[in-house]
This record gives sequence, structure tokens and C-alpha cells, in this order.
Amino acid sequence: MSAGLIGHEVRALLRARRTRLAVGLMLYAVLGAVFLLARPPAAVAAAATEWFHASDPAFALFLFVWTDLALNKLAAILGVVLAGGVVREDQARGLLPLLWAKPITPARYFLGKLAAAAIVFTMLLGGAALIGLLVFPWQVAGFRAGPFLVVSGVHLVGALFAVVLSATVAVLIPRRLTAMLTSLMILLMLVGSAFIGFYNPAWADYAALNPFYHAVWLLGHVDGLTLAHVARPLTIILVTHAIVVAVGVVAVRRIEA
Amino acid sequence: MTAAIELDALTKTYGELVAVDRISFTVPEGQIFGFMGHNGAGKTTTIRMLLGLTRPSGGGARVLGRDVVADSLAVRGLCGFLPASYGLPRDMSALDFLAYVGAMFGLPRAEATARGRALLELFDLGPVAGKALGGFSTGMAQKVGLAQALIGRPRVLFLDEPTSGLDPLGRHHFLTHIRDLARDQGVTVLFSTHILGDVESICEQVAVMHHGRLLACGALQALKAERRAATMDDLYLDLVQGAA
Repeated sequence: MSAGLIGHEVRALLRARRTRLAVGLMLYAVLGAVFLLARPPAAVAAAATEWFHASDPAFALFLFVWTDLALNKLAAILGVVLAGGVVREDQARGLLPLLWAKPITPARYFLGKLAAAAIVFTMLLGGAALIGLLVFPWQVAGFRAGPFLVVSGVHLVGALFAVVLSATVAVLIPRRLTAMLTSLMILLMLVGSAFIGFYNPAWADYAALNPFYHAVWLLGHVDGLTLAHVARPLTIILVTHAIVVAVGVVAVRRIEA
Repeated sequence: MTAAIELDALTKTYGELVAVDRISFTVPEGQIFGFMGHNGAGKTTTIRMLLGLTRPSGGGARVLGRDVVADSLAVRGLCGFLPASYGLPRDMSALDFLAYVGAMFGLPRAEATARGRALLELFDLGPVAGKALGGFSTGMAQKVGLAQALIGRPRVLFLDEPTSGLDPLGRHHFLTHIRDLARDQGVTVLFSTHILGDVESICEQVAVMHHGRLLACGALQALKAERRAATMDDLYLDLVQGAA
């Protein structure tokens, strides 16, 4: 799919009512992080101190609240909202007979839709991080922009799994609502189990397969972040994304216009 | 005359059901070719195979010399298609939709928008170009359907039951546009319909399908003379009842 076509898809998605709702959700994430940090649950504060061994436990707690409590669950919902109806939505509206008769393969059509959803998702999560960059220095004692951006960046790449999975499940399961609920259930399970490697270090290797784990894993290295700390999770995440996208590409070829 | 569309024993089966049974015919370039048959005769399946949307079970076909299976993307790049049944994105404007379809043909944004605007003007939809498609009447939506089929400047146009659902005036205007396209731009039109009057008014050659089989193919006047049929209705009934 050409850049021009992806541009059309992005513009259409940005105009959609559900995207406006998503903007509201992301603003809520920024404000929610501030409120949560004002009176963090004791168990969360204790876990952050115990797990991350940071020189500044308050900053580690903030990053924990930001990535997990504020962003993770919203990212799961946002992925389903933006990509949970990919291709199936057009099929339900009777658009596929028109559009697939054009010089474009179903696979490229799917990839274009997925790319557009990923771009809008990035704009929303990236936008939330940028707003956070303006708000948090005034609200969070000892706020450091560098680690915040690195953790937010890795989290964003990991959270894109919500888009990738939702799009792939959408083309695997013909019924749109069933597909969306399935994606949401899987994503919320992944978000919920992102800390399994911290609860039990013996499971840390398995936890690495969870795209939502890696940003949290980085929190344990905030004091001395290196390129290697970022490269490893990004590699794992991108390989996971590629495998799931490939499944989607195979699945979309079986859909009849 | 060069062939725009060539079918050679084209076949499609779904399990035991033979939807299209070894049909062969040729459509000359620049003609409006009537493709007739009742609902379920196999017309839509044939068109879908010609566009590479459905894989043939046997035989083959070429559009403008390109194989419809091996070279389906190139075929679709040269063709326009208006399906019998389709939807339009209700929340998108007519112009945005045409620009989007234009982008599928690789047209730059400005060119796709200009082409979309010109087509909407041609079909008297200029004043509503920016309006959401959800508010369009059946006739207006069908014009947008035809416009999207034309946005890539097709050399072959597949129209599947394009006049069903149109009122008499809308039908007249639609057929006039089709006739103009073939006459002025040399576009080959495969016009699939079960409305016999439409075929009689704009087609020179026809193919008649019945239960997946090709009953007759050739120049309309010659077929009528051969069957001693005064009208298209008489010819069709004679062919179909003879096949029953």
C-alpha cells in the first residue's frame, strides 16, 4: 500500500468518532498518573521499591504508575478500538467488492489499514507522553526527561502489539464483536501478567514474550540505561509483532470480497 | 478487431455445484457487450474470475492480453468494476472516497482529487461532492459507484447489474453515460444484466448464460434473426426455454 493510501487511511481514522474518544482517554491517562501518584496504593509503592531497586524510588514509582496503571490498560483498549474492525468493518459495509477489485492485494490492503491504525496509536500515545513531558516536571519530584522518554518509547513499541494483535484477530475471526472481545481479553491478560517475572524471577524468561513486560523491565535499569537495555526488548517486541502480522497477512488472503 | 476479453473454457465449481461451466467467448475492444442471464446464472462469478477476485477451477481467461490469474493486479489496474451489490462509506464525502480509490491506482493526491471532482461534475454531483455519502439517494450512490469504477481511466469496464434499483430517468442517464464512454473513449464495457431492454438499447453483441452454461453468443441482430425473434425478450425466452 502506498504512502498516499496510508495517508487517506490515517485521515479517515483521525476523523472517526472513536479516535476523538481515544484522545479523551489519553488525556485521562496523563491526569490519572498525576492523581495516582498523589496517593499511590501502598502495595504498589512497596512493589515498585522492591522490584526496581532504583536510587530514586519515587521516580521509579512514577514511571511504574505511568507505564502500567496509566498507559497499559488504555493501550489495550485503544488497540482494539483502532484496529479491532480492520477489513471486517469494510466487509460488513459492503465495501470489499469495490475496493479489492482495484490493483491492490488483500495483504497490502490489510497492511495499509494496520499501518494507519499503528500511526494513529503512535500519535495518541506519543502525544500523551509529550503532554506528560510538559506536565510531569511540575508534578513529579526528581522528574528526569531522558529515562521518561526512553521508557515511554519502549512502552509504545511494546503497546503497539495491541494494534497488531487486534488487526490480526479481526481477520482471523469473522464476527467483528467476537474478534474485538477476544483481542481485548488476550490483551488484558497480557497487561495483567506483565509483572509475572517480578513476582517470580524464575518466570522472567517467559515474561519476555509478553510485549507489555519490557517497559516495566526497563524500570529496573533506569539508573544506568544503555543502548543494550533498549535493544534487547525492542528486538524481541519487533520479532513478536512481525510474527503476528504474518499470521494476519495469511488470514486476510482467505477472506472473499 | 482486437479482443479485450477472451474466455477459454472458464470454469468455476463449488464442490458439486458447477457455477460456471466451461464458457468461452471473446469481447472485441471498444464494444458494449451484453452479458445476460437470470439471477444465479453465473454472470457475477464469471466477472469475479475475470478480475482475479475468484480463482477459476478450470480453463482460463485474458483481459487485454493479461492472464487473469497470473497477472490479476495488472488486469485490475486496467479495469473498472461496479459490482451488483456494494456499499459506500457513509461517513466519507464523495470526493474523499474517489480520491481514496484514486490512490489505490497510485494516483498522486492532487491528481486523484482533480479526477474525482471532474467525474462528480460529469455525473451532476459537483454540488454535493463534499457531502457525506450516507445522505445520497440510490441513484446518486450508483453514480458515485460508476465514478469510482472510472477513476483509474479503465480500458475495460465491468458493470454487474448496474441499472437495478434505478428509476427510469436514472436508468436512461446511466445508459447514456455508458454509451458515451464506449463511443468517445473507446472503453470496452462488459454489461451484465437481466434487464433485457437495457441490452437491446446499448449492446451490439451479447452472451446469454443459463445455469452456468453459455447458451448463445454473437451479434445481437444476427442472433435475433437466427432465432426469428422480434425482440430481445423473445430471443432470451427462446434460448432459455430451449435449454430447459
